[in-house]
Amino acid sequence: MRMVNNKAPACSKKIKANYYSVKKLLFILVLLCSHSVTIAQEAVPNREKRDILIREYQAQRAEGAVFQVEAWRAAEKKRIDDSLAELPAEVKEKLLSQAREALAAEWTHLPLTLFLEFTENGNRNHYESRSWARRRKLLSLTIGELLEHRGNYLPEIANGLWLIMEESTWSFPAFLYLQKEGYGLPDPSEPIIDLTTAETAATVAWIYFLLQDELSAVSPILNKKVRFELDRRIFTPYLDRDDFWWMGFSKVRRVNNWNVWINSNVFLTTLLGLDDEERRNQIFEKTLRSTDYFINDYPEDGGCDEGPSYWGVAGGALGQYLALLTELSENRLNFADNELLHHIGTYIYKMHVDSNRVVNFADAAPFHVPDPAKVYAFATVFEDERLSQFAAYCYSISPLWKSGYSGRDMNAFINNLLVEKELRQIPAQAPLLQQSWLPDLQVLALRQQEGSARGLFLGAKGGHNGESHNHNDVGNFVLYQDGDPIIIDLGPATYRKETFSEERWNIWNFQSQWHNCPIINGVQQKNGRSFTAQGTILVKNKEKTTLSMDLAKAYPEEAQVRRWKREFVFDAAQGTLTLNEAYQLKEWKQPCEINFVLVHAPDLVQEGRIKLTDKEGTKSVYLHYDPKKFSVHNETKVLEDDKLKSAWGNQVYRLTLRSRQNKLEGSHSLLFKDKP
Amino acid sequence: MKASGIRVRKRKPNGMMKNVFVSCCHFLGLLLLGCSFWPSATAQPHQAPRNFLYKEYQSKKATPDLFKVAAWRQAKKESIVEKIAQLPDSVKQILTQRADQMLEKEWPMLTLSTYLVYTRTGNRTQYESQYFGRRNKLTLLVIGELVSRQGKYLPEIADGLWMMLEETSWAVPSTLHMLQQAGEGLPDHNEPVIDLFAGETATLIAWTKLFLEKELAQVSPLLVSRMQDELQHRIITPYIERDDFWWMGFQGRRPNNWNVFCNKNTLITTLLVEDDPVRQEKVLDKSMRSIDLFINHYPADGGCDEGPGYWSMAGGGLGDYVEILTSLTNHQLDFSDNELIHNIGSYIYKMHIADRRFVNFADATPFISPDPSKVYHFGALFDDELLKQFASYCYQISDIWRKGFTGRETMNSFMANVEVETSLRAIARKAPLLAESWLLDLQVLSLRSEAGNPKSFFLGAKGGHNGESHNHNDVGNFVLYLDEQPFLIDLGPATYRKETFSSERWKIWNFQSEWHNCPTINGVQQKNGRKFAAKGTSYRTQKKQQILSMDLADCYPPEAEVQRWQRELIFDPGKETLTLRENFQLKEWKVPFQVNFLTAQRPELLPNGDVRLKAASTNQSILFRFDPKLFELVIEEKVLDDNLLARNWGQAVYRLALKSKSRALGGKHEFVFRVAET
Repeated sequence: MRMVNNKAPACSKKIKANYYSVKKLLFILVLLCSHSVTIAQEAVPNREKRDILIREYQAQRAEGAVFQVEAWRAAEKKRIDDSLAELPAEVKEKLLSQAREALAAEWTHLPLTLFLEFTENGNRNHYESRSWARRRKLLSLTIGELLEHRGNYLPEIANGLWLIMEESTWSFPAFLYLQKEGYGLPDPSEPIIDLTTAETAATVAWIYFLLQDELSAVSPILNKKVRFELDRRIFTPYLDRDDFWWMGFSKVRRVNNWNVWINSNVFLTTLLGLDDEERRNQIFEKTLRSTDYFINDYPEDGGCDEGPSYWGVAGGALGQYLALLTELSENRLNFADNELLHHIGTYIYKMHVDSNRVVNFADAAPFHVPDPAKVYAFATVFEDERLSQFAAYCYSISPLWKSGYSGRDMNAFINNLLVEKELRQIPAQAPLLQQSWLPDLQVLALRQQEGSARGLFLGAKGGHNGESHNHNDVGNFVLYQDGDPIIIDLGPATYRKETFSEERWNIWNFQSQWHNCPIINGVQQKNGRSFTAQGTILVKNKEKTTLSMDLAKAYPEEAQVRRWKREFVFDAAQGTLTLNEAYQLKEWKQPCEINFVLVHAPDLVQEGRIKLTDKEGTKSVYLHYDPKKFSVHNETKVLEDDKLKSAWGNQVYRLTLRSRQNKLEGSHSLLFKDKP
Repeated sequence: MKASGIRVRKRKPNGMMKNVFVSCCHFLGLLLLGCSFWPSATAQPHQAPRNFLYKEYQSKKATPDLFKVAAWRQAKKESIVEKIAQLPDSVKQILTQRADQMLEKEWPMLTLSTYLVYTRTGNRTQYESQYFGRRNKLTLLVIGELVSRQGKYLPEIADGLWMMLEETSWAVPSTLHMLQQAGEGLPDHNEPVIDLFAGETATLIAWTKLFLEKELAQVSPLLVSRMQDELQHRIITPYIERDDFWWMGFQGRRPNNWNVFCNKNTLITTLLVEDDPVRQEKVLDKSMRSIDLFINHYPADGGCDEGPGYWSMAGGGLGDYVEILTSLTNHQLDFSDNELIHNIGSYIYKMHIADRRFVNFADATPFISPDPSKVYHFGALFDDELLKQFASYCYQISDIWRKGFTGRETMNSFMANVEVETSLRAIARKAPLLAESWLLDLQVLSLRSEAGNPKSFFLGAKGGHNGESHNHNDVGNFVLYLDEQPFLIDLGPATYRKETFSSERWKIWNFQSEWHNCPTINGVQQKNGRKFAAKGTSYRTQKKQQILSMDLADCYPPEAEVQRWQRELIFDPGKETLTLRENFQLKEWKVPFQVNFLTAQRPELLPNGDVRLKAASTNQSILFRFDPKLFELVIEEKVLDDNLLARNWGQAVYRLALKSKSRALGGKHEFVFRVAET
C-alpha cells in the first residue's frame, strides 16, 4: 500500500464551529441556485396529469368566489401584530440590535460592471452578495420598525425601497438567459420574472402591505411607485407571458424549484399588493395552473432530486403555498387527503441524519436546518404530529432567532414569526426513522435504531445522471457514525458561470471519481438521463436491508463494462454495512478503482483493515477489505473553494482501493463496522 | 469733527478675512444655475413681439434640407476629436489627472431621504452635492477617456451612466413643485419633467454616446440602447409633447435663464441622438418659438437683470444656441445683423471691473469667470474683435481646464471650449474695460476713470426697480472699486435655501435695502415689487462729469412718508471722485433717516473726520467725507454666517450708517468719495 499523503490534518476545524456560518451560507445558496437551461434539459416525463390544484379550485369556484382577500388581509395584520408582541424579550432585543446595525450600515451600490462580471468572468458572487446586502438591510430595518412602530427606521426603509425600485432589474446576471437579449445587461423593455425578481417583489409587497400608511406619510409617490413597479415587473409580465420555462406551460423543459418558488412569491405579491380583484384572480388562478406542473412532475414518493437543502424552495415552498391557499379560501381549498403532497412534506425528515446533518447528494448542502415554518405548514395542512414535532425540532436547532433574523426573505420571517409561539410549545423531536426509502428517486436512508442517531447511518442512491443539479453519482453513498460524517458527499461548490454549463462536467467535484463510486477501466460515469442505475431494488429481511443496483449503464461505452452490480447490505442489529460488488467487463484495460471521499485521513491499521474517522477523529468505522484483491491509496485534496471549505475545512481525503485483478469478471466485498 | 460723533458698535470680534477668491469660483458655479424662477414675474414686454428666431426660420423654411443634422453631428464629432488631439500636452495632463482623481472617488449614493431634505428643510445642497458629485465624476471621466483613449476610464464611465439611467428622475428636488403635477416632494416616475439639470444630464449622456458609443456597445449593446431610450423618454418626448413647462414661456410666465438653458440642452441632446427628422424639426421649431419669448422680454440694451453671474446660462447660452442654428444651417439662418443679440453678448464685458470681478447687483456673485467659448461664440457670430479678445481674456482668467466642467454646463462647456481653444490661444487677450457703459433699460451704469485701465477708479450703479429677476431691494445702489479691489460693495447672494425663493425672501437681511448702499427713510426700507421703482432716472455727461440721477421715493412704501428722494451720483474721472448728492422731501418726520454704505474691511477714522475705506491687497484707499453737523456715523460689524457670503467677503463686513441729525422735512446733503494714496 502506498500512501500519497498520510499526514493527519494539522488543525481540523471543528464542524460545529462552522455551524452558523455554514447555515447562513447555505441559506444563500439555496435560493440562488437556480441553474439555467443547459443542464438537465430532460424531456418532460409523461407522468399522470394530476392537476390537483386547479381541479380543486375549479370545483370550489363553481360555488362562488374562493379567496377572501380583504378578510385575510385584516386578519393577517392582526396576527402579525400579535405575534410580534409575543416574541420573547431576548429575541426582540436581538432583532432590534440588528435593526440598529442596519441603520448604521451604508447602502451598497450595484454598479453595472459588477453586474457584468458574470458574463465577463463568471463570478456571480460579487453582484449577488451586494444585492442581498441591500435586501437584508431592508428586512432588518423593517423588522425593527414593525417591533417599535416609532418611525425610527422609516426614512431608511423608504430609502431602501426607493433604491430597489430604481434597480434596472431584480434579476441576477446569471438568470438573464430568460430575456430575449440573453445574458449581459437587463433590457428595460422586457421585465422578466425569475427567482430573485419574485422574491424581491414579495419582500417589497410585504413592506408595502405592513407599512403603507407610514410610507405614504413619507411621500404618497412612494406607494404609487411601489404599485407601479410591482405591476410592471410582476403582475403584467406574469399575466402576459406563458413562455417562462419555469411556468411549465411551454413544456420546453422540466420545471424545478423555480416553479413553486416563483409562483408562490407571485401569489403572495399579488395578495399583498394588488387591489384589482379581477386581475388578482387571474394571477391566483394562473399560479395554480402553473404550480400543477411542478406537482405533476413530482415522483410519487415525494422525493426531491435537488436534495433537502432545495426542499425549502421546492417542496417546502409548496407546503407554505398550500397552507396559504387553505387559509385564504377559508378552508375551501383543502389538500389534507392528498398522499403525494403529504409525502413531499415528510421527505424532509426522511433525509435527516442528525442535528443539522442531512443526506446531501448532488448539489444539496451537507449541513442544513429546514425552515421551521415550512415544515410546520405541512404539519398543519396534513395535521401530522410527526411533522409538527420535527418543525419544533428544526426551530430548536435553527439559528434563526438566536442570531437575529438574518435572512433576506421577508416571507420566511413572517411565516416563522406567525408560528414562533406555537413551535415553542411543541415537543422538539426528530422522527429519525429507521428506514426511509424513496423508490422513485432511489434514495435510501437507514439507521440502526429508530429515534436515535447513535450508531451507523447509511445514505445511498441509485437514480440517474440527468437529475436536477446532477452530480455524476449513481451508486454513491454516505456513512455517518453517531450522527457525524465519515464517508461523505462533498456537495456543492460555489456556483460559478461554468457550474451551469457544459463545463460543469469538467469540474472535479461533479465527477464520479470524487464520489464514492467506482472507476471502471479508467473511465468515470457520464452525465445524462440515459446514464442510470438499473434494476435498483430494496429488499428487507429480518436482520438485513439490501439495496442493490447495476451501475454499468451509468458509464459510457469506453468503460467496456457489461455489469457492475453494487449491493449495500445494512445490518441494523450488528451495526455493519457490507458493500458487495460483482462485475463483468467486455474488455480489461486497466485496474478498476473504488473511491471513498473522507473527512479525515484514513489510518491503515493493518493490511486489510483501515480506520476511518469523523473530522475530530473520535468516532470511527473500520473498513475490512481483502488485501489480495486491492492495493490501497490515499490522497489529500486541498479545498480551494470557499463553500467547500466552509463545509469541510481546508482539505478532504480520497481513499482508493485499486483492484489487483485483471480478469473480465470478479467480485469483492467490503465490510464497514465499528470494530477493528 | 469730534470723535464723539462716532460710535463704533462691535457685534463680534473682527475675524480674519480670508481671501476666498479661488474656492468661491467653484462654489458659484454650483450656485448659479440653481437659481430658480421668479415667483411673480409675469409682466409682458411692452414692445411688439420680436420673434427674431422664428421669423428668420419662417423666411428660410422653404430652403431644402435646411437643417443638416447628420452632417452637423458628424462634423462636430470630427472637429472635437481633432481639437482634443491638438490640446497642449499640459492641458491633456491636467485633464487626465482630474479623471484619475475621479477614479479614486466613490460614486455618491442618491437616496430618497436626501431627495426629500429640500421639501422638509429647504436645504438644497445636501441632495445636490451628491447629485452633482455623480455628474462631475462622470464628466471628468469621459473627458479623461476622450483625451487618453485607452479604455482606462470606460468601466467606471459605464457604471456612472448606468446609475444615472436608473435614477428615478434627473430633476433636482427644488424644481419639482413648478414642473410636475404631483408638486413638490418625490419625482413621479410617470411624469418625466425637464428642469435645468435634467437637460444638463441629458447632454452629458448624449455627448458621451456620441464619442464612446462603440466602446460602450462593447461593454453591452443594451447600455447604449438604454441611453438612447432614456434620453427620448425623459427629454425629447416630453419636450415635444408638452407646452406647459413654465420655462417654455408658452403659458405666459416670463422666461428667464431657464428658458435658454433648457431649450438649448434639449436641442443639443436632440441633435446628438435623435435620428428622426420629423422629431428633430419639432424640437428645433419649438425651441425657436420658446427662445423667442426669452428674447422678446429682453431689454434693447441687452442687459441681464439677473446679473452677469447668470449671463452664461441666460444671454451667454443664447449665443451658443444661435451659433448652433447658424452652423446647423450653414449660415442659412443668419442673425449677424441683430443688434439686440449682439448687445446681449457685449453686456458681459460692460459689467466687467477687473480680472474676475464683475458688477454684481442682486443675486449676481462678485467673482465670475465667463465661459470663454460663450463669449467667443458672440465674437464669431458678430465678427466682433472686442468680444473675441475678451473671450481670450476670459480663457486666461478662468483656468477652465483645471477648474471647469464641474459646476454647471459641464460637458457642453468642455466641448465648446475644446472647439475654440486654438482660436482663443491665437487671439490677443484683452478686456475692453470701457470708460463708460450705460444700460438704459436695465438702468445699470458702469464708469471707470481711465478706459483700458483695470486699476482705475470704478463706479457701478443702478436704478431700476424691485421686481427684477433675482431681485434685491436695491434701487439706487452702487459699488466702488479701485486698483481692482472692492471698497463699497454689494454683498450679492447668500446660499440658496427654500426661503430664498418664497415670500420669506424679504425677511432675510441680505435682500433688504438697509444692507445695500441705500437710504432708510423714516426707519422704513425699500419694498419688493415692480412698482417700487426709480423715477426719472437720467444719465448725462456735463463738464467732464458723469451724472446718474433718479428719484428713489417710489421705492419705499407709504409708511416711509417720503415725497421725493433725489439721488445723484456724480463721477469725476479727472479728479477721481464720486459725489453722492441727495435732495429729499418728506411728508412727515418720524425718525432720523439713515444712509448706509457697506465695506468689506473695517473703515478707519482719520483725525480730520474723514473715513478711510480700505481694501485688501492695495496700497490705495478711498477717503469718505461727510458733514458731521448733519450726520452721526455708526460703524457696525456684520458677522457673516452664510458660507457663500463668507467665502466672497470673509467673516464679516462693515456698515457705515450715516444717521441724520436733522428733523427737517426737506434737505440736501453730499457725501464725497475720493481716491487717495495711503
